[in-house]
Amino acid sequence: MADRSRPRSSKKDAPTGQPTSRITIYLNGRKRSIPSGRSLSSALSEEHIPVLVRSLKYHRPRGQYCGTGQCAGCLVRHNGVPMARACQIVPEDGDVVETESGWPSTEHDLLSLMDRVFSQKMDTLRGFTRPLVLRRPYLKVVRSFSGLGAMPDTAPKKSPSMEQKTVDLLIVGGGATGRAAEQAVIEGSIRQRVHLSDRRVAGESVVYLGPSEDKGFLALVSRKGLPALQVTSRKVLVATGSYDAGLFFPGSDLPGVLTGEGLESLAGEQGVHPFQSIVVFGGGPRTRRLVKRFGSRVKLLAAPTTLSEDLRQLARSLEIEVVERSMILSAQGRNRLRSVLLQDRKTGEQRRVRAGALVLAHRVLPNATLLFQAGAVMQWREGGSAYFPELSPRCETTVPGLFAVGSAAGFLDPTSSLESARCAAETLAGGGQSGKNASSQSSSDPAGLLAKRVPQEDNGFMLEYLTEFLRLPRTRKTVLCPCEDVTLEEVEGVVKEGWDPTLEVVKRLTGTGMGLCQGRYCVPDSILLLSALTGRSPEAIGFMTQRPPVWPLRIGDLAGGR
Amino acid sequence: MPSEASHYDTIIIGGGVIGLYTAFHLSARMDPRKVLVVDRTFPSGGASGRNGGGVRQQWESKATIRLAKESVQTYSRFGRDFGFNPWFRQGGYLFLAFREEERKTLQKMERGVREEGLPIRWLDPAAVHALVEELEVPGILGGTYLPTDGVIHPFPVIWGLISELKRRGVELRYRTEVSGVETVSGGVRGVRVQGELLRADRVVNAAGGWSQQINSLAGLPSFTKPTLHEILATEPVKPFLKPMVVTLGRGTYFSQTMRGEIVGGLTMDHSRSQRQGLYSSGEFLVEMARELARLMPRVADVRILRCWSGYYDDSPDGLPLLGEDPRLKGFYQANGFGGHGFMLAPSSTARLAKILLGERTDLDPHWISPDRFTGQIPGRPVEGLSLG
Repeated sequence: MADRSRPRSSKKDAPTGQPTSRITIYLNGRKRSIPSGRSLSSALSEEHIPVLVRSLKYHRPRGQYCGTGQCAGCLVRHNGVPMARACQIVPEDGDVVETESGWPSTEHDLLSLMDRVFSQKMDTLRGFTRPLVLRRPYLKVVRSFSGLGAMPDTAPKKSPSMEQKTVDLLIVGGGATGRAAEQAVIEGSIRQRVHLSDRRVAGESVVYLGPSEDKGFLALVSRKGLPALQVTSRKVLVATGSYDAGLFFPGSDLPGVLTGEGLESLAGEQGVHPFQSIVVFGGGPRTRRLVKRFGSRVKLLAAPTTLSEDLRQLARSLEIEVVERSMILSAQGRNRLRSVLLQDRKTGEQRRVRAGALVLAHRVLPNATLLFQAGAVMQWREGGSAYFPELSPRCETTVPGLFAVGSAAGFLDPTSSLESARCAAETLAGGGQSGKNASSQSSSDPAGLLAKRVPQEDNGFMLEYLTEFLRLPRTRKTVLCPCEDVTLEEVEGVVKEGWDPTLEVVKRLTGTGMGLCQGRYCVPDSILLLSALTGRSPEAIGFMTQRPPVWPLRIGDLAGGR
Repeated sequence: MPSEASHYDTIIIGGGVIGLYTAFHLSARMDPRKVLVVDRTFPSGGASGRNGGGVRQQWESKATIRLAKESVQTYSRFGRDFGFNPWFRQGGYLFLAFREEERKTLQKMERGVREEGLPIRWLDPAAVHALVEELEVPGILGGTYLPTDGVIHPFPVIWGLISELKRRGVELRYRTEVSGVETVSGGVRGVRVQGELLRADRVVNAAGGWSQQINSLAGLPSFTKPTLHEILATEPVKPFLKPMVVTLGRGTYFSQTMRGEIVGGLTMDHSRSQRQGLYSSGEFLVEMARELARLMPRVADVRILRCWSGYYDDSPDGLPLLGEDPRLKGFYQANGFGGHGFMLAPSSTARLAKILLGERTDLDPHWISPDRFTGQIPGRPVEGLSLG
């Protein structure tokens, strides 16, 4: 992924003073010295990163994309464990890391010819059916290409049993909002037993939430390096925040195209990353944060709509060029991004920008999977172009005892986010009207909280943006769902053939949303895409059942003990 | 559709694999425009899109073995015939015995299956291990293995059938709930959908887990009942598991799909649950993870990607109900497959189509007919291997 468009000077952003300590790992059998204390993908990115993953069908190169452990961009075999996320591993001295896709190697993969042979698509839905005598050979060959990593050669040591815990309140999410709620509840009522699951610091993720046998909720919590934890709680507060959305265009799956979180995770706390020139795409608070942090390497800020005056000024002060009302037409490069083709949405004028990274920060989406799973009624909100929970003025969802606050509930700016946390905490601590849940949207909202829920950063432009994008001619196939290598053209084909263009049906016809990320990065845009293609409202396109677990869950973490 | 066309010969309630295959066989023999399929949700929204894709011929009763054998032949040609590839991979089914009585049950079944000309074999523990090296669990007494059993990807079967039926001119109405079954003097007159009466001479109840609701619309108590079953899928691993593996005790089963996911489930008792509709339970995730790690300890390092649930429509004797309901003339049952509708669909619906056309079938009518539960017919066979 290293960008060779300019001379290398990776020390530029490195922390000065202390020399970084280094460890030795074995990458595909070869010794490699890497800095310690950083994620594997970050450590490898110090110099030229090899391609770690080839895609399932077309063997396209993939790289770090989401930085949260959800996508299929950085899977490696780590000490014999398949499909480990390089962005989530902090390697230790002597670790053995292997890439698992491609032949003869992941970096130089002859099977990437697939991408050319099947230049339109490899039709696994209708292809390989004739002649009948070739059925078994087809099965054999296609099967030999399946799977992302090989089964471990040996069984791991048995983990200890899953732990169990009973509390009064489970808080999911340890960001500022979740912490604020925790503190307010504890201050408001000292008798409450509260458990807070924090992903970033404690490595705890609530992967399942449902009703428990008796009253209250049952949650399964996966923990880094520990067996899972089973929490029974009377009430649950979801403060899972938001994430950076993906976007599709030809080349959107190239290494070097990544989300804001992807870049932040790669850079780690030290802020070291291999990109000499970055194009940032976006215009909201997320973009602002990224420009502030990575400003010295940001070459161009491309906004899909117009920029706020303060962001414009910030860019000017950092000598960053700004283009507004801009569309990404494509990303070019062989095994990594080399340049981005942009088009002015007003004039149609095109320009090519050389860049090592294209950072997507145009849109944030709520982490609302748990709310869906727990059965809360969700509403499509045009402002956010996403589903948000139906809430009472006390931030209780339609499931009694289940509260949602912060950006997961649609309070996108920090002020209203904290306000929502305090409001819910008041009720949870016993101060407010408790137990009044549900469809009381219309009932009084003294704090005026719900009115602040229309996202400040308006995502409503996306439908228009994608509609415009679809009208433009495309020459290369566009990967819509990178986990499963589903193309935009396949989805267009499904609509043209007259199938029911709802997400549930398109998912089952094409595989969109059935991959490793469970649709986090393709489904939000697929809804808008289907809406643009059919003229139906996004709500009529529907959604797909959000299936547990929220994050892939190691079998051994549940099965320990026996 | 013109108004006179809303008098159908046959209305099939349920657009899953049973309903669609029934329409397929029926429309080959009569005016396809006289057949209507109506379904409450989207295609594959019921058990036909929620099953594990297993297709096996290892059964206790002769009739089930024969039906399954024919289905295997049909599915192995499905891609060519329908133009949609269901990736039917015949890696066999391996039934494991851990206890003496399980061994006896399986060896008895093995004899019956062999008598039908199928290449079933008994594997001793060493042979089991040679077939699936990862089964590092103590106490395996052996197992039956039939290499021509397999696993199919269910969705393409549904898409293939829908495409073919549309081409023929059969009317399909999805996302259309049936609100009434109209009867007149002990016979069926039609069904009511969205306030509209659709007349028909025959109505087929192929609603699977919802067939009780359809029966009650016709004023009939049901012999079958829906039970919730859950499945999970792991992240896709490179091919290692050839057969579908089944254990008798808890009805645990798992196989590897063509994409590489390990897909499997086990039977849990949800009868005391307060939850409504289809749901996934945390208890299942834990139980299934334990079962997988017990049977294949190496799988502990693989991750669960997703889980989901669906209904089995269980009949009292483990066999489906196929044929006219003795309580209502013109009302046909095609349900009660107990979680095995997908694997038995092509062949059993071929018989149902014959029954609908008033012809004799090669099946003993006492065996499948819905009237076997009204107490008139003695000595019915029981399918004991209707598990997992």
